[in-house]
Amino acid sequence: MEKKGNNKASGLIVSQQRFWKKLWRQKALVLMAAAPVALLIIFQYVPIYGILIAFKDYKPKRGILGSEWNDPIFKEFIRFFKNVNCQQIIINTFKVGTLTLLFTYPAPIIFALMLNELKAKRFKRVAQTASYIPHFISVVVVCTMLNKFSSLGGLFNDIREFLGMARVDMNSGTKYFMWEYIGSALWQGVGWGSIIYLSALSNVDTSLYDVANLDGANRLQKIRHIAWPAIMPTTTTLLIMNAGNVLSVDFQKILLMQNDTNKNELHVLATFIHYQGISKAEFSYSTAINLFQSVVSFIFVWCTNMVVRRMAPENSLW
Amino acid sequence: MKKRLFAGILAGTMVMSGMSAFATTPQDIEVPEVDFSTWATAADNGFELPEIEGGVLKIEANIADFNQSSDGTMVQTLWEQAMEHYLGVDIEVTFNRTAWADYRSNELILLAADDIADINTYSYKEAVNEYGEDEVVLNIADYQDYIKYYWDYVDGHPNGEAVAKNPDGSMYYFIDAINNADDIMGAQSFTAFAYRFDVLKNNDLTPATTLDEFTQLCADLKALIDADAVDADYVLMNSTKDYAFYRGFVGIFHTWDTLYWNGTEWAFGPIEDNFREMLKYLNGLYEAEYIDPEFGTADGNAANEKASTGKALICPTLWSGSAQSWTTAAAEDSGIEWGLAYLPKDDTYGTPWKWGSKLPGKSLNPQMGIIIDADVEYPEYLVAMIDYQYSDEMTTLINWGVEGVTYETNEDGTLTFVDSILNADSPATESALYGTAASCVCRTGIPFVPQNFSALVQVSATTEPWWSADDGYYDGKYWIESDRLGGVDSVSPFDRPAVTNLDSDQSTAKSNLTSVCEGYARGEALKFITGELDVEDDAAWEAYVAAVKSQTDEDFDETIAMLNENSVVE
Amino acid sequence: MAKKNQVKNKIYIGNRFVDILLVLFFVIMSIIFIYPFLNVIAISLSSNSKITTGQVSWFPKEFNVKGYEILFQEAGIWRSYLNTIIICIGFMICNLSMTSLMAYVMMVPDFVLKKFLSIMLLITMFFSGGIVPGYLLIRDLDLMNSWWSLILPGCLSAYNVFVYRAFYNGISHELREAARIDGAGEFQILLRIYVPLSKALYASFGLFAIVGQWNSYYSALLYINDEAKYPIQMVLRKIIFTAGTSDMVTATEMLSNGDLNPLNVQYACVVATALPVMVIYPFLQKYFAQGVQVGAVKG
Repeated sequence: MEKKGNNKASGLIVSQQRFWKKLWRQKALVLMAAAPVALLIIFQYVPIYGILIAFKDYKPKRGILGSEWNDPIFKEFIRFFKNVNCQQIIINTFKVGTLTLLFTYPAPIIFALMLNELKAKRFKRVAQTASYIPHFISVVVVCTMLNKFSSLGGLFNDIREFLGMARVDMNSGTKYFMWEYIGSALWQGVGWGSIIYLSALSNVDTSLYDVANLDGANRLQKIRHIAWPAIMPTTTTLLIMNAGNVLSVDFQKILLMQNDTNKNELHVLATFIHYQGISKAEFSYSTAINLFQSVVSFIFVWCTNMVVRRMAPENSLW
Repeated sequence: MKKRLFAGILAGTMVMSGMSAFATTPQDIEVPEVDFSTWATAADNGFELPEIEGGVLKIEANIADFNQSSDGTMVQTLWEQAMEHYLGVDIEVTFNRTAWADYRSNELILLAADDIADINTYSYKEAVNEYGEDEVVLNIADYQDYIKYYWDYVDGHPNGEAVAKNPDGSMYYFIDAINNADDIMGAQSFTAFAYRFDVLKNNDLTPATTLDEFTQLCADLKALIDADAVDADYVLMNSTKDYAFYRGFVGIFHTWDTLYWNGTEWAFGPIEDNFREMLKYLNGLYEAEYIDPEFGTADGNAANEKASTGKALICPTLWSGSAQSWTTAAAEDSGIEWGLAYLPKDDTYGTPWKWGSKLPGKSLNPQMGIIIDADVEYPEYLVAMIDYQYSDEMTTLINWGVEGVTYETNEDGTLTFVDSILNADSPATESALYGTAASCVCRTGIPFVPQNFSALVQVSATTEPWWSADDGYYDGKYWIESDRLGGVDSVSPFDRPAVTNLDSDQSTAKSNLTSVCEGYARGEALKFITGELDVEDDAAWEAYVAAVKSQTDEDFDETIAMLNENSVVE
Repeated sequence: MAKKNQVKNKIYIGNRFVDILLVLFFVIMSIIFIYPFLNVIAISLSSNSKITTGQVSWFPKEFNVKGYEILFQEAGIWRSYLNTIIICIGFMICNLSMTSLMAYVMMVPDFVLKKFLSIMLLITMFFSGGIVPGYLLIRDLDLMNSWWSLILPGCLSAYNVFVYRAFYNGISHELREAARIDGAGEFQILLRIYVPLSKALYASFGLFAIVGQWNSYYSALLYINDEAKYPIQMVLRKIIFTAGTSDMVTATEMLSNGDLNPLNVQYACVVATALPVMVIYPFLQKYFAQGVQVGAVKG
């Protein structure tokens, strides 16, 4: 037993020595990382002590570190979990976030692959440019339009009537909310999101297509064997990171889409923080809820990365 | 293609930069010489101000800008001259201007970071008290010897001393104030219903004076719509989803849509019996299909479209100016004319309450004002300076401008703006060019300088069509008509609350109750109106009351009891 | 033989059919994408009456340039455009260079700090100190009223680094090894091989950086007091507030005044923000053309 322990210790020393040696050999890389890491430390890690506000009774004159600890220390968290709406808020947030991810994540990939299939170069450019225009329209304007289109006399109802359905006030209640929320997110984001995949697709070696044509490969085969491998690393990386965004909901849009017929059913974490915290300067409370959200997001990313590492280790984040 | 694109952009840019040449700007107006020799000085008032190094008082001020910046206006320039005359030193003020909405989002961060400027506009009273205790904000009670004019407004306000000072005697702010010399106790919203005057006139109808008449009028109008005699879809509409439809009716039923002072104690409107009665009434209107089914979901743009294209005939929820704006926007050949009439009265409750009515004489406006940094070098000067903004000569300058340039004195001593301002397309915008605060478009000096209400009504209140049983159809201004027609009885106790002194935890509990419970109640109350919940069913009502109460983190009833315990009743 | 031809023809016809469907799809999509923006332009140029009564859709009705007049009367607007351009370019340079450096070292397979840096980066994606500590930091670094306060804090994001790395991973490692054998240093490899081979990446992330910075206002609201240093968004916000969203009374007063609708100004501002950056894209499109880096990439 003892001997084994000794071995372990000496092994540690050896691996430590090896580590420093290797690091010395890679000093060029370390030097290259210096500037970005410095930025990271100064602008991300130095102010990170702000998280402590969640556990403190913050007094500006004393500073964050000098302020007194909450009693009990999880006071703000307890307050949140005791709130009558807490459970519904968390469920809502997951629901909105997951459904959004389910649609907005694959859409730009499909859109990019479809664009890639267009033969006419000029038309392709026009279609591509058109697709990213909605990204520049502010959420306020988008919601104004949504409200108008969904009203009884609006465009969506004209379409419903054309399809033989009855006119309904689609702004009312929560029935159509998710469709509108996701639909508008897609409309705004699909073209913009596809840019990244289009740039990945530009890495494809065109001679591969010539070879595939000679072999008589069909369209889907070409997509599967040529285009897909080219964007695969990017899609995986984005999937892992998007998993962390499940809880971050576009709260401004929700606020704008809310009305008396749906607001009690539509609360999500971000709107809750907005109503409870920011609008009333309850920094401790809002920091606590934010911290809760961060921890959950972090766990999500960690898990997704674990799964990816099992399946395709070269594409995992670490 | 790209070249053409560029050329197009360039051409567009040049056209647009050409546009800037036309309009008059505040800088085009010449600043007249004003003789300040008759104006007060700090020395006259017996203030002993310390010697300043270099003789120049340097101040940094974070101020909120309203629709138009006061920077470079005639009144702003004169404000500085008058201040220098009063203080007896040269002043050099650096203004950091931020638009009001943005200012509010920044305000709390600067306070929390202990990084406010020497002088600042504030709008979160509770936060200021908290940061005052924390020595971020100057306790001006320590410099009371340099305050003279502010007291006029504090004394004029009911229980003013308790409003201006905390129970321990500390004062962390100069509170915004108003001088309502003509005692106009009017309001500017939710005090009148808008009616389609053209439809009423054509069909020999008049606006309602009682709630029964109102119900009958709705029935008559509905019959006209059904008979295709009037081209409209619904009788009643809401002005935006941002306002609960019942905001127009709560005053009639003597209740309120949130936490309010009911004259004797604090009460939460949406759980009161009166409120339930009101919901029953509205449910009746809804069941009879008088109300636009989109009343809770259509936004302001949609509502404007409905009103200006004649889709509805009555709107019970609106601000002054809206009726006129709908008439203006409507197509000329449509004949659409919107006008206003005071809230109908219900005999059970008496004269309807109006929301937001002004106090007579000099009074305070407690939610906002000015704060000073606790670490400033010459607090005496800054306190004296802000105090001077409350003097009559200063408020006249800020609100009315300069005699002979922007206003004239009548024989009876009252003031009137000059014709070139009053007859302009928009008197408010025109007077704002000079920088007068009466315009509401622009707030001059270091906001907030007390506003002169008579000046404000002259330039910034729109003239709109009105109707009353005694006068028939006529033109009036919202502020004045809501005062005249409503009378003293219509002033809601909500607008004259008891002073309630709360520490920071208590005020958090209060604002929780106000905002969170109100928000929840709005959603549920709508279900009672549409019949999704049965307002006649006691069990449903009790479940609703219990659910509303459960929304706060603190105990609902205890919070109300706490508010009542801490209230100062005259 | 004939049969094979038939099959080929079938594929050919099928392909034509799919091509036509695709074109049709993109025509419809383009209309859906463009319509709202055309509507914004049309409203910004229409009369109050036509806007309020809801009659404007594709084209302006009762042509009215008041919104733009208000916009371009604002004294500081041209300077703020210039400011924003400088800030955006500065931000883009910092962003691209810092991200490249970080992504490159994290891509090297046997780099000993690889995992450590990954996790260090990842944490910043979710945990931040919040607004007040960020504000205090900028103040203590004496960056108040400096454009660096807008550029530095956000210029290295974990998200970007990981995407860059995924891209770099797509470039053959043999190339790197070969260059090393030829005696090239790590920095040279990044500069000579990886950067030129990732033109499309730089085009898209350069665009993201510029547009992101172009549209942001919150940092400027906190950190920039001097109006001469305002980016365009701050000025536009000011103008939108001027048109009357901050005060109900004046808003309705201006409305009832007749010829100006707040939407004129608000939508003119949308156009003024969006157009200048929208025109960048066509210039970048050539970098997305396929097969630029034939042979250099494993595929």
